Amino acid sequence: MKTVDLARAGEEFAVKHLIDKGYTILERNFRTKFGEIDIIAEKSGSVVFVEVKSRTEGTGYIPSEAVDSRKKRRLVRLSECYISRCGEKYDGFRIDLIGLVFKAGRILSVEHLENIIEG
Amino acid sequence: MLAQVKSSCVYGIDGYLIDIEVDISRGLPASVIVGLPDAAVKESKDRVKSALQNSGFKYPSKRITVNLAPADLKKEGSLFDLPIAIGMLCASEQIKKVRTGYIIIGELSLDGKVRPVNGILSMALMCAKDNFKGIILPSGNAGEASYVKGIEVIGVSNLAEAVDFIEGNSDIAPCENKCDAGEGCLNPEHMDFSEVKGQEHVKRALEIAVAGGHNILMIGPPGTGKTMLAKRVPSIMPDMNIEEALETARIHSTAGANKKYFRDGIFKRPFRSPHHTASDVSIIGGGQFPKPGEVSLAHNGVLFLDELPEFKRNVLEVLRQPLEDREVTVSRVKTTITFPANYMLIAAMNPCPCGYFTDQNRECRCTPLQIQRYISRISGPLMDRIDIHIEVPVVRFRDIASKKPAEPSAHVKSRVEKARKIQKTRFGSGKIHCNAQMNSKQIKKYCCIEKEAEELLNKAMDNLCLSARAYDKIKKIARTIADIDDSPGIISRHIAEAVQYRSLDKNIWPA
Repeated sequence: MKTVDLARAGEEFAVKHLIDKGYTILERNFRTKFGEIDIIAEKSGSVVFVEVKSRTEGTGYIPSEAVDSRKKRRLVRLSECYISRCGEKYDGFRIDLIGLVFKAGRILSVEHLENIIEG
Repeated sequence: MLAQVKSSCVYGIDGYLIDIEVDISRGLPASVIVGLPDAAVKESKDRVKSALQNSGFKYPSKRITVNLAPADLKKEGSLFDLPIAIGMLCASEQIKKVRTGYIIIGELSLDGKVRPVNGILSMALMCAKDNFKGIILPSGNAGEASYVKGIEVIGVSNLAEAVDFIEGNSDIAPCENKCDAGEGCLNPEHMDFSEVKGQEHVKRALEIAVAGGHNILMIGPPGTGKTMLAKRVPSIMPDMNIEEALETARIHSTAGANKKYFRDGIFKRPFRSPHHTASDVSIIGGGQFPKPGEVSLAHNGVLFLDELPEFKRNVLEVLRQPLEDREVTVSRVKTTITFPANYMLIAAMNPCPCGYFTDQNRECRCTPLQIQRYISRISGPLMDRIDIHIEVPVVRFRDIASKKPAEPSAHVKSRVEKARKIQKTRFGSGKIHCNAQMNSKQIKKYCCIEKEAEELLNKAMDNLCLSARAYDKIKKIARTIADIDDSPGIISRHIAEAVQYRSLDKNIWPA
């Protein structure tokens, strides 16, 4: 599977996962000048910005490792950008990470980390 | 939502009121502490987070701003953990109703337990002065604060307990006030003068020193009981009143006194005996946020310097100002703080490097030059502040073996107390309290020497080649001896005894 396809499949799965958990999807691939947020969802009045990371099993990498401090800073900036555009309806915000591990085109494990960034 | 909690912190030995404001607002989860916090205060947000989560509360995942007011005072230490946690719970409406009028202090551990902190006594005193209803503090510190009158002392052992009390769901019985309970002599180690056999004249000299507030230097060969005697001096000092006891305890509280100090009761006079390798900062006090040093820890008690000439020169010199002013001012870039340092100095030394110069039975191996060098390590200005020098000879074996009990401390103490009372009426409410603090004008005024005694003093001056400095000192000591004697005038007997307490002025020393 190509990397782009893997990422695409991962996002599709994450969306399904969020809907199953009772979230409403507000945006997908919210684009700005300096990057994009994979999924923006909402649940009971608070907005969740979701970064999806997908990896293939056996490569030695785990998904949550891929979010370093630079990536975190970017996520904060992107979320603030969204909040300033259309955040006034909501009163809580947080940034989540969904990490997925694939094996031969199938999901092996799902990891949903809430509130990964706190200043 | 905005919440306000009252807390307190300590500068020097005084407690200050700190307002803690917690605001929770919309935004990405983040928490900031403003109001000049130091590292330990900044770290508190991580402790608070874990403590809240592990006590079954929710850490608000919103933007949290904590302000410590007044914002221009530097805050240090971990004692704001509990008030910050309470503030967060109020601001996130996990605490709905609040009992007011309490000051909250405490460090949190990650599992929500409340840990004891330093300086509680100063904060409790501030709390009483500012008419707060009570103080909520770690249960480990409750004993310490219970010496303060007029406030409820609420000891809590974990966060949940504190929250229950603040919400009014449960009552915690305030700690019993110990203010009057312990007054009187507390001598848990049972150190008593009666345990020291022989050395009657040294005991007498110590009695005079305590009675008149004189500093004293004991000179003698090794193993003659100098240290043993010095350790027992607090047992003959007059009892402290509650104000003195609280002031001393306050210093120990800010310096992080061990639990033992407060368990023994705060009415015990301190006895500090720093080792001769001590640095000047450890003696005087210091640090970025100045902490009291040995001279302040010995406030209202005894500072004992064993092996006086072995102390570093600069350490001995820094003792001069506190001996004069009975307080010490520590200046640092961030703060300037004055600590009280009203102590009695007891010093002990050997007469020469080998130690046996004044020993009757052993040969001294030192050259006169060596002895002179040894003695001159103690500078003139410091020597000037030590009124009494007493030689401590080797104890005779029949004194050690004798079954006759020596005089107990309580008897000596009653004489000391009587002499102190006489001095109190003499000096009234003036600046000085005891004979040792008289200046030359006051010496002239209060030390009226009878004619016969005057002649004796003049003769002693000539025959023993005493200095002008010694002249004044002898009069001061004679005044104290007369006070112990309950005699208004100074007679020859008093002068004769006083002259003996200036051994370093005598010309047996190769100076």
